[in-house]
Amino acid sequence: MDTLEPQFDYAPAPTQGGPSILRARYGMLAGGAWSEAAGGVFATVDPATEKPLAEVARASSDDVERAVRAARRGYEKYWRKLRPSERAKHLFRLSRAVSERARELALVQTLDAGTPIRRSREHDVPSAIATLFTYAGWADKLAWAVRAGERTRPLGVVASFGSGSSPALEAACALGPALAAGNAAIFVPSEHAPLAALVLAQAGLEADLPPGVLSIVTGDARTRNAFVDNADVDAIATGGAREACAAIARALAGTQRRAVLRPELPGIVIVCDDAPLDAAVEGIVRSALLERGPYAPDALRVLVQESILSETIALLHERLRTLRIGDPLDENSDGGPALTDARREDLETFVTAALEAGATVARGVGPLPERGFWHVPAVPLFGFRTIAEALEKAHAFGRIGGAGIWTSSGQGAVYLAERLAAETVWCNGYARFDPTTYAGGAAALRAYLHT
Amino acid sequence: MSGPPARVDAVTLEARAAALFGRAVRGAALEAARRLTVACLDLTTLEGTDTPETVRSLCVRGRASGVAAVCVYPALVAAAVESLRSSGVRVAAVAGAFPSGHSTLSVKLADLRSALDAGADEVDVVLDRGAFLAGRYGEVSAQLEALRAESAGATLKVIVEAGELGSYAALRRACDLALAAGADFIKTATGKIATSTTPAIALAMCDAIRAHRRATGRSAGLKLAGGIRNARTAFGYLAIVKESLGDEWLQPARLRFGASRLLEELAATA
Repeated sequence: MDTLEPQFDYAPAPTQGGPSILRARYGMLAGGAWSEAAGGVFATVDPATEKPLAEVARASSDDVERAVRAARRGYEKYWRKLRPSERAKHLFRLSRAVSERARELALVQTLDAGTPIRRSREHDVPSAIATLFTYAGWADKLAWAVRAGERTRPLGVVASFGSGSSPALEAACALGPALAAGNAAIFVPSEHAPLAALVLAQAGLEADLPPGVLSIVTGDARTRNAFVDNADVDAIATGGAREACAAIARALAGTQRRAVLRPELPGIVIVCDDAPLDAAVEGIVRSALLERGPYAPDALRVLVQESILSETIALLHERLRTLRIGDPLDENSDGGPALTDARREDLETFVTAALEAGATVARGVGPLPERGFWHVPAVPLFGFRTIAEALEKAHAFGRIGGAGIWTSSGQGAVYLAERLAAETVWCNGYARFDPTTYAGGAAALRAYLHT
Repeated sequence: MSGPPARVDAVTLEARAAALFGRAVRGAALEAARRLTVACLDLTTLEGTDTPETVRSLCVRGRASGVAAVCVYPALVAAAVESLRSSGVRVAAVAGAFPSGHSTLSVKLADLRSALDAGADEVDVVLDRGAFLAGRYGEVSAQLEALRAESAGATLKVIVEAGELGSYAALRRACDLALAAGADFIKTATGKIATSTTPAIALAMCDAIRAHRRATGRSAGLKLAGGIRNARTAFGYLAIVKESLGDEWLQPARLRFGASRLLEELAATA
C-alpha cells in the first residue's frame, strides 16, 4: 500500500462580514439616545492586528454627570414606578432584541476583543442572551431571591465597569441583575473592547426601554473615576484586578453608596492520579488558555499528581502542538491574542515566575503573527504527591475563585471540594457557568437590592 | 493489557468531538479532503442480495476511483479478487460470525480462514459483545488472539460495535483489548445497528490508539463505518483524526472509511 504524504489541512475559513460590519464612529447611549461626548473620542484597536477599528466617544465628567442625571430621571420617573411584571416584560424584550443581533454581537466582540469567532458565537453570545433572559424572569420574583422577610428595594442608579474579558457576556452579567432588581443601570465597557456593549445599547433602544434606564457610557479610567466621584450614583459594580476593586471600596467607604465588587481571583486545577487523563489534558488546555472564565488569567495554578505528571506533560505537549492559535475571525481558530499588550506581558511574566518557582512548563509552537498581542500558549504544571499536599499547595494560594478537580472518584472530588477555599468547584470541568443556577444567577441579585 | 481500565470522561469527550467535527472545511481543503477520503475508502457491500455480479460492478467502480479496498462477505471474496487483480485495490472480507459475533471460536476461525483462502488481503472481524458485556474479558482476548494468529500476514480489523457497548468506558476497554491482541485497525461498527458511529465514539477510539502507541510504540489504524453517507460527515471525521492522532494517520495504512454510498456522494460534491 502506498504511503501518502499528509495532504489535508484546513484552508482559511474567515467569517462572512468582518470589519465591514463596524461603524467608523460610535457615540454613547445616555438618556435613551445616542450622543457625542464632550471628552472627544478614542480609538479601539483590533488586538489581532493592532489596527484601529473605530472611534468611540470618550465621556468627560460633564458627560458622566449628564448620563447619571438621565439615569436618575429614568429611575424615578419610569422604572421605579413600573409594576415588577411590567419591568420583566421590558427585560424579556431586551433579551429578544439582543438575540436578534446575536450574529453581529459575536462578530463585533471577536473583532474588538480577539475572542475566536466560534467561542463568541457558540458560547459568549448565547450565554449573554441566556443571562438577560433569566434575569428578566427574576424581575417579578425578587421575594424569592432574598430571605423570608427581607425587603427587595432597588438601590437606584447603578454604574458597572467592564474589564474587557468576554465583553458581551460581562455586559449582560452586569446589566441583567441590576435592571431586574429595579435599578437604572449604566455600563461602562473597558476602553480596550467597548464595541460589544454598544451593540447591546442599540438592542436596548430597539427594545424601547424607558429613557435613562439602560445607558452605555464609553471612556477610560477618568470616566470611571467620574462615576466613582459622583454622589448621585448609588452603587458602583466592578470585577477585574484586585487593586482596582480595593480602590473603589476605599472611595465608597463611609458613604451610603454601595460597592458591588467581584475581584478576579486566582483559579486552580487539580489533576488526581485516577483522572480520565485525555479529558484532564483537554481540561487543562481549556482552563489555562481558552476558557478561563472571569478568573485572573495570569494566575491559574495547575497541580498534577506526580505519578502521572510526566505522562500528563507528554500528552499536553502533543495537544499544544495541535492547538490552533490564529486569526480570531477564522472559524477554525481555537485561541486568539491577548486583549492588550500589557495582558500579554502579564501572561509571559506569570509563566516565567512559575518556572522560577519550580514548575514544568508545557509550550505550544509558533510562529505567531508579527503584529498583534500574540503569545505562544504555555501552561506551567506543579506536582503534588498526596491529596494533603495538593490541599496545602492550594491553600498557600489564598482565596480561590474557581477550582477544577479531575478525578474518577466521586468521593475524592467531594473530599477536595469541601476543603478548598474556592467560590466554585467543578468536577471534571472548569469555568462552566449557568445563569439558571443559584450561584450563577439568583445570588447576584441580592447585591443590587436593599434587603 | 495491564493496570486498571483507562478512564473516560463523557462530557469532555463529547464536547471536544463536537468541536472538531464542526471544523470548517472549505475552499482548497475540500478537494484535498475529498481525495483523501476516496483513498481511504473501503467500498462496501454487505447485503443478503449480493451476487458475484453486483460485487464485480462494485469493484469496477472502486478500481476507477482508486479506493483503498472493497469489502464483502467471505463467499464473494473470490469474485472481488478476480476483478481487482493488479489494481492496487485490496480485498477485505467480514468474518468471525459477522455481525453478531455469536458463534463458537472454531466456526469464527473457519470463517476467517475461508476468506483468506479465497484471497482476501484484509479481514474485518467482530468482537464478541456477548462475552464482553458479560465481563468475560479473558475470553474476548483469547478469541481475538486466536483470530490474530490465524490471520498472520493479513490486515486484521476488529469491529467493536460501539453502539452496543453501553458506555465510552466500555468502548475504551474493548478498544484496548483489541489493540493488545494485535489488531491492525479498530473499527467502530458493523453498520447493521442503528447507533453506529458518532464523533465522540471516533474520538474515544483515537484516544485508545494514541495510548496504545505511547505504551507500545505501535501505530494501529482506525476504521470508521456505519452511517457515513455524505462528504460533510466524512470530513468531520477527518478533522477528528487529524487533530487527535495527527497528520500521520491521514493515509489508507492507518485510516479507513467503510461505506456503501459515500463514493457517489463524494463524486457529486467534486
